[in-house]
Amino acid sequence: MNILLVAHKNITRNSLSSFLGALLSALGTAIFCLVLLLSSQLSKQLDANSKHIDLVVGAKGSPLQLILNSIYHVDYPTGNIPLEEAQKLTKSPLVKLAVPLSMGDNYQGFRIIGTDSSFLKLYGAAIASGKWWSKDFEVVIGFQVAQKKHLKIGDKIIGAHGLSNSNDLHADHPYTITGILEENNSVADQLVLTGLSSVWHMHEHEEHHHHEHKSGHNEPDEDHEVHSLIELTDHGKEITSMLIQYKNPTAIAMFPRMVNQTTEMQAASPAIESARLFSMLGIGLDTLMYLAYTLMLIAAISVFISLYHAFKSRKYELAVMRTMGASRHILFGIMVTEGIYITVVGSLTGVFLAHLATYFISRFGSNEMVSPWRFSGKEGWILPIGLALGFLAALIPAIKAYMTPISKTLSR
Amino acid sequence: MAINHPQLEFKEITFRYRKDRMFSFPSLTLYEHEQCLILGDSGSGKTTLLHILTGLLRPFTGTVLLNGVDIYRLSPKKQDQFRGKHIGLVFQQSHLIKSLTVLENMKLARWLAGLPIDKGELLAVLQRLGIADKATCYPYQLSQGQAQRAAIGRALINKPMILVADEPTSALDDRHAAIVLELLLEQSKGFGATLIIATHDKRIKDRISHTYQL
Repeated sequence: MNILLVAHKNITRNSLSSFLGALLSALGTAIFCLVLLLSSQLSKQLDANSKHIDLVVGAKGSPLQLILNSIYHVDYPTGNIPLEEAQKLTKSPLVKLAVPLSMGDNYQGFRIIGTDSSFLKLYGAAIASGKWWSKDFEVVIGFQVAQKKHLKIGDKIIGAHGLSNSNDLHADHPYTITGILEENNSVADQLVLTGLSSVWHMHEHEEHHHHEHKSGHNEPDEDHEVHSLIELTDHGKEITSMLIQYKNPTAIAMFPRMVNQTTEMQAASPAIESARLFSMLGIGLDTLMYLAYTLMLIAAISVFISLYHAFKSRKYELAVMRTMGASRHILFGIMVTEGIYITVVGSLTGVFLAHLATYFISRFGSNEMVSPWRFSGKEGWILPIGLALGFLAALIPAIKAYMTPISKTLSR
Repeated sequence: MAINHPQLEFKEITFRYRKDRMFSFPSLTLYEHEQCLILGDSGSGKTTLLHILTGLLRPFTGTVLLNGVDIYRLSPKKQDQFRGKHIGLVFQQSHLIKSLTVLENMKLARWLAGLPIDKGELLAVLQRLGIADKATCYPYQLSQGQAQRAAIGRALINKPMILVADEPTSALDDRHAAIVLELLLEQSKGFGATLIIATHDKRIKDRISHTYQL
């Protein structure tokens, strides 16, 4: 027999109104926790992926789109740039590392990226097993790709056109896996890496293929737009973008301006663009946060009302308990425990719901940026917040219980 | 019985609710194993006196000695503890805690008095009262008689010095009133408690030695 048991028994007796209080605090906490999880995981992901990248050079268009596409691999490319032009930039003394990217295909939703070995250096990635490719149509795959698709060295995979899952397969040109990367906790885990020339050859071939195709039929080609992302022009080879790491901070001021003013390409800074992205998302996150606060406040009020009612109907019982030797403090303790019990159960349920929601987001939203198993440090605040809400909600009924006059209540 | 010393003693007790309503109660001394009936019409101050005797209501003047202890001189916390350990209360209607089972009500009484809980002992008490099979029932599942038995059990579970009953029979018919009275007499004797019954129920009169008329 202890306070917790007595409180538990009282709560289960009033299960309906207790349930409402717990439900409201669960919803409030779930939204609060979900916003925390999403914003912390997103910003962590954004930081992890752009950590070593100072600048992205690509075709003119939206700078945000260029960043999203080349660093986070989520949006479509802004266009192509000539490899020759891009290579000229890399000769600048301000550039420490330059990684070319060429994209346009995917393997079951994982993007196939044409690049070179400087990619590993930029992301601090290493090969866990196997080796780097040496021939065309050989690939090295990211950790998550290998895990999720159960792939191993020597397996052959077939790419498809476009940047998301499609049925337009390159069945006649399978890639062979020669290596698997170590887990990098960055977007590199979700990529299939191959040589630039593999991508070019694939599409060189495709071009022919398509021309033949076209002479036979006259149907419009839906995928044509995607095809043209990587095109062999008369001027030479093209890539989608180039990731650049500076040699020293002075480049921040000079280099982007130089690119934007003297070339046909655009330079976009990941730091500026992700800050812009976050400030846009921020309004939505703030609104959700206010909703969470409101729900938690309503939860506290509902717990207060249910405890106040319980106090009124239990006044006599409380007086009887006093005759049995209960001190004022015990009655106060029972009331407070009841309030805290409801909100803490609600809060813990809310944390569970939030993680369940991130599980569904990551599972069915095919969003690889959130993980249900990662906990945010700020989640540690949820328990004290739940405790405080319960305490505040129970305070008035608890004081009332503390003050209950025994004799007067019993003789009523 | 070697030396019979007073179990309950009260002297010169007065109490007033408002200026115009003043009660003054004649002094009384009760020894171990004695029984006393407090008789009086409603409004005569029976409940007030009972509450004063059991440490629930501080009198305006006078002292209450229980086994030599002046209960209103104890600190509030000690008072609560003393009450839980040494005073058993039975009300007109059984006031069991509704959210707890019969057995849990017994456990609550032990716990609130700061006494150890021995489940076997508790079940034995329920056995003596003939409601052992109701141990896991909630109060709403009991008949009025069973609930009254459970309430008497709960009042006696800590082996109190005095067992105080406030109108325990007035809501009952003759047969049940007789049963409850028998139960109170028998159990208070069995547990060695001085029995005090406050009532206006004339049916009880003949069974109890002392009467205290208000």
